[in-house]
This record gives sequence, C-alpha cells and structure tokens, in this order.
Amino acid sequence: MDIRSKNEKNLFSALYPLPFVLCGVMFLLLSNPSLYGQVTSIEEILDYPERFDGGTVTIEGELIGEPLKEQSGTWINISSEGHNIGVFVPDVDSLGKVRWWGSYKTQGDYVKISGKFSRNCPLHNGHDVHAYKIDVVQEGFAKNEVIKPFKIRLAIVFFIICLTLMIVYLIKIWRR
Amino acid sequence: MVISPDKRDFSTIFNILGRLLLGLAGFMLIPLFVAIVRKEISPFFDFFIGFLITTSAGLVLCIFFPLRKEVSWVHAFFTVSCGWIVFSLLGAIPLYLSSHFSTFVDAWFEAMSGFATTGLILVQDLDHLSFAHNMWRHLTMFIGGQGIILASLSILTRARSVALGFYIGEARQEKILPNVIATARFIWKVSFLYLILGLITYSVILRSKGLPLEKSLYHGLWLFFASFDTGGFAPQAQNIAYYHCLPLEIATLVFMMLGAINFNLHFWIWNKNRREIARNFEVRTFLFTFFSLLLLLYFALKGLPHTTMFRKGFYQLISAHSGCGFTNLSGGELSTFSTLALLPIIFAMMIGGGVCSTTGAIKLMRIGIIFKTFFTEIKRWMMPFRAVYKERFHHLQDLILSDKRVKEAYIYFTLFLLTYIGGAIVGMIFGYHPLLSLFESVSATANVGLSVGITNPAAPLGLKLMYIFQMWVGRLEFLSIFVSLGFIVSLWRK
Repeated sequence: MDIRSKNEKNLFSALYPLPFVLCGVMFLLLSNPSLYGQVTSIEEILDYPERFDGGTVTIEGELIGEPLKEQSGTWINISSEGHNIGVFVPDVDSLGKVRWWGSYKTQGDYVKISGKFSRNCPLHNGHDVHAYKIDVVQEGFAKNEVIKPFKIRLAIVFFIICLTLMIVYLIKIWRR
Repeated sequence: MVISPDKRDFSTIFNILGRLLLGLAGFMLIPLFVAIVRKEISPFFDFFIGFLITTSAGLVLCIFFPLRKEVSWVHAFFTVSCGWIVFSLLGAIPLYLSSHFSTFVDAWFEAMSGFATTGLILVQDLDHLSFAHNMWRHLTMFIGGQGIILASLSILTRARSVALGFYIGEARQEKILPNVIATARFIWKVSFLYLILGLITYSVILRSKGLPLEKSLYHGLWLFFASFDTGGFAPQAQNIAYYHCLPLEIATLVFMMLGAINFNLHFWIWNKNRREIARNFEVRTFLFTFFSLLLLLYFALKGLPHTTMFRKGFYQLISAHSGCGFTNLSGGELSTFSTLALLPIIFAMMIGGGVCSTTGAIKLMRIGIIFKTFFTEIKRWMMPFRAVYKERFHHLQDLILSDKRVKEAYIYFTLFLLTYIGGAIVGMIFGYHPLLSLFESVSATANVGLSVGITNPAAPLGLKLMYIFQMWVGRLEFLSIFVSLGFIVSLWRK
C-alpha cells in the first residue's frame, strides 16, 4: 500500500463520523429552533405550544397596555399580527428602556424578547414566557388622530336632517 | 282564529320602535361623553354620526307612523323581535366607523353579540380601540342584559297595559313583583347596587396591579358590565388573560354567578327568606349539573397540577355555565383542549343559568324539569296502576310538576337543541371540524362567547350571518320571533 492511499484511508476514517455529527446538529436545531436565536412568531407558539414547551424562545411584538405588577416581577403583554402573549419579567430593571405602551393614542415599543416558554407554567398556571432579555427594536410613538373628511361631511348632513325632523316632530306635537 | 295585523298595527309597532330608537340614541350619548372627556376626536364623530342617524330614524318612525291602536301583546312581540335587529344595526354604525371592522357585517355581528350578551368578537386590533368605542361595546351588553325594551319600559308609562308582553317577549318568564313595571325597576335597582359593588371591587384589584386610576375605573366598569350581564367582552384582546391576576379571576367568577342567578332569587334572598338559596330548584339543578360536568372535566385534565386545573378547567366551566364567556386562556388554547375536555364545556354552555337572569341557553329550570320528569315517569311505572302521583319541586314556593310546565320545558329544550345542531351543520358545511362547529354554534345560540377560533374576521360571510341569527333567536328564546313570523305569514295569506 502506497503512502497516498494510506493518507486517503486516514482521511476517510476521520470524515466517517461527520454525517452523523451533522445529523445530530440538524436534529438539535430542528427540535429546538431557538437554539440559534431565530425569532419565532407568537402565532406559531400559541398554535403548537408542545413544540416549544420548556425551551428558550425569541419573540417580537408591540408592547400593549401597561406593565402589570406582580409580587416577584412584572407582567407585560406583547402583540404581533393579531396574536398576544403574556411575558413575565422577573427583573423589572430590564424594562428601563421601554417608553411607549400600545393604546388608542400610542403605538407601543416594538420589542425583542428572549425567554423560557412554558405551556403550563408551574408558577402562573398557563401559557407564558419568562423573559431573560428584552431589547427595544423600534421605539413607539404618539399617534396623530386623523379625522376622515367624509365623517365631518356625514355629521353635517345628518345634523341638518336631524334638526329638520326634530322641528317637524315638535310642530306635530304642538299642533296636537 | 289567528289575529292578523293590519296597517294600523304596523303603524303602532313602528311608532313604539321609533320611541325606543330615541332611547337608544340617548344611550349613545354616554360614549360620546367619554370621547369628549378622553379627547378622542375621531370616535367623537363616530358616535355623533351614530347618534344623529339613530335619532333621525326614531323621529321618522314617530312622525310618519302615529300610534293608531292601543298597544297590545301583538305589538309587544313584534317590537321586541324587530327591535333587537334594528338596535344592533344602528348600534353597529359607530363601531363600523372606527375602522376596526373589515365589513359592516362584522360591526353588526359585534353589536348583536353585545346586545345579546354573547361576547363573540370580530373586532380587529382591539388593543388600540378607543375608550369611547370600548364603552359602547360594553354598554351594549348592559343594555341587552337588562333587556332593551325593559330599559325603556321602566321609564315609559303609556305601555303599562302591555308591559307583560314586552317582558315575556324578551325571554323573561317570571314576574318578581305583581306589577311588571315594578319588576323592571327592581331588576334595575339590583343591577345598580351590584354595579357599585362590582366597580369598586374590580377597580381596587386593577389599581393594585398598577393600572392608572382612570383606566382602572373604566376597566372596572366594563368588566362589571361583561361579568354581571354575562356578556364576556373585555377591553383587551387577551380577554381576562391580559391582567394575569388571580384575585380578578375570582372576582369575575363571583359576578358571573350573580348575573346567572334568577333575579327572583335575588329578591327572595334580600327581602324574604335567605334559606331559599339552599332549597331552590334551580340552585340544586345547577349544583348537580356543575359538579357532574366538573367531574368529567377533571378526568379530561387529569395530570395537570390542581392550580392549573382550576385556572384552565374550573374557570372555563363556570364561564360557560353562567353564559358569560370570559376566558383566562391564551388565544386559541381552547381549541387545543381534548374532546373530553371540550364536551363538559359544551354541555355547560347548552344548559346556561337561571330563568329571569341575564343568561341565554336552555336554562336550569327547564333542564331540572326534564330530569325530574324522567325520574317521575320511572316512579310512576313502579307504583300501583291506579295510584295518583303528583311530583313537586321548590322554586320560591312549592310547585306541582304540571303537564304545562313539562310541555313548555320540552318545547324550549327541543328548539334550542335544533338551533345548536343547525348551527353546527352550517359550520360543517363551511368545512369546520364537527366538534368545533358544535362548540361555536352552542356558544352563539346560548349567548356565551367562548370561542375555539372559528369566529374571526376571515370566517365566511354565511357563517357570520348564521351566528347573528343564532344570537338573536337564542337571546329572545324564539317565542316573540315565532309569533312575529306567524303574523307576517298571516298577513301574506290575506
């Protein structure tokens, strides 16, 4: 056996376990997508809670309402594409950068949260995420109310109609 | 011989309807006032337009359709069935103008859901809805729960002679006091007393969670409307789950139950005999059905920690049985429940609360009578052939289980069952899973509001219209609608 074929054989024996290692890595990545920090949609978490139960998830969404006090931390609610989830924040200081909370007059801060998702949280008995890290991705803002011109026109038209009818009605009662 | 209405009857009906619309317009001033206080300009215009259209419609009916006949039961039934459709259509105008609904049908659905105290929602981006619109959504439940016509009835004096017709038309079969107007006023008194109690309880809890004072008052008021009137709307998209608060969940359980209790029982406990609660037939029926279903749910959720079982199972079951529809589950979580876990919730929704309460569904009294009839029949077979046996039950006083009561219970039971199944079949036609279709159909007909996700803005138009119909017939308990339909048919035969 020449030296070349001997080297090739060594190389093959070194590469032999590689497919298995790659398969293992693939399996880990697929079984727990959050391992590589990928953002998971709230909808997906709520639709398939068993897939994410006990794992670390990264979610993004708008902060809604207000922070809600709890003995050992704070609750926040985030919303994304019509789906909402409650996030428990043990370290209240991590909300320091948050300025805006979504409501009628405000667009809440858009945040990225990493934390542990539990299908039946032993502390809170429901679907929730216990946050490790909160980052503000996009700052919220105060919304300017836009009044559509047709609403003003409609209000004027119906005001005149209503006033006329009111007068007719009062005349009718007066005549009686 | 069947009484067939003529032109003068319709003129009278439209006149009463016109007056009631003026009352609805008056209610619209409340969210209008909220819009002014909260400086919500666009919602102000939405409610101003809604107010003007409703007032104009009311005036047109009053001007062009004079009261040509003495108001009778015929007019009362017709006004009730038409009134709920017209009220929901006009009540939907400010909602539609908010731009939170993709179509007018969606806004109509929301308004009907509110007036019928159902709680199924089609509103989009609820978390960004104005205070004024939220006030209106919740106010519709209060108006509907107390009875739209009943609300007006307690103020009107001219319709005293047919007050009972309006009262029964709105699916209330028991008078508390000999006079119906006095009964209506008593119901309002009870409601206002609980309103103060509920507002304080909820606001204190919410304030302790960190909500600003003004917001905790608004949310407290809305949650009271939704729980006591067994409506189930909430100002946030996550419903009760938004607050992450166990004391609030317990408080809502109490007010849901208070709303589901017969107003007559409230009256007896307050004014006559407190022991009635232990002897009452409806209370006993509730305890039997509730604990049977809880046992079933326990087996379905076996393996979960007890606290989780309470928050997931017990809460949903009470919410379903009282017809409220509040949920502390995350969006879509209910649809992940096993078949065995969904069944007790469906049964609880089918049964509902007490007669003369704010709930819908078959009602405890009728279910109790059906059970009792079954056992009475078995007893009868075991007795000598010539034995005369009268079964009794205690509801405020000792009553005989007469054939009339049994017949009535079975008629309503059958009608509700047919509507539940009919809605489920329509759901299946649109391609939904049979069990989930049945769940949503029962929820709509029984005016509960729990959802497995079928009710959403993307749902087929036909299904939305079907649910609107189910909410309407379920709330009015068929009688006034069938009588009205009968009159229309008789008119056609003329």
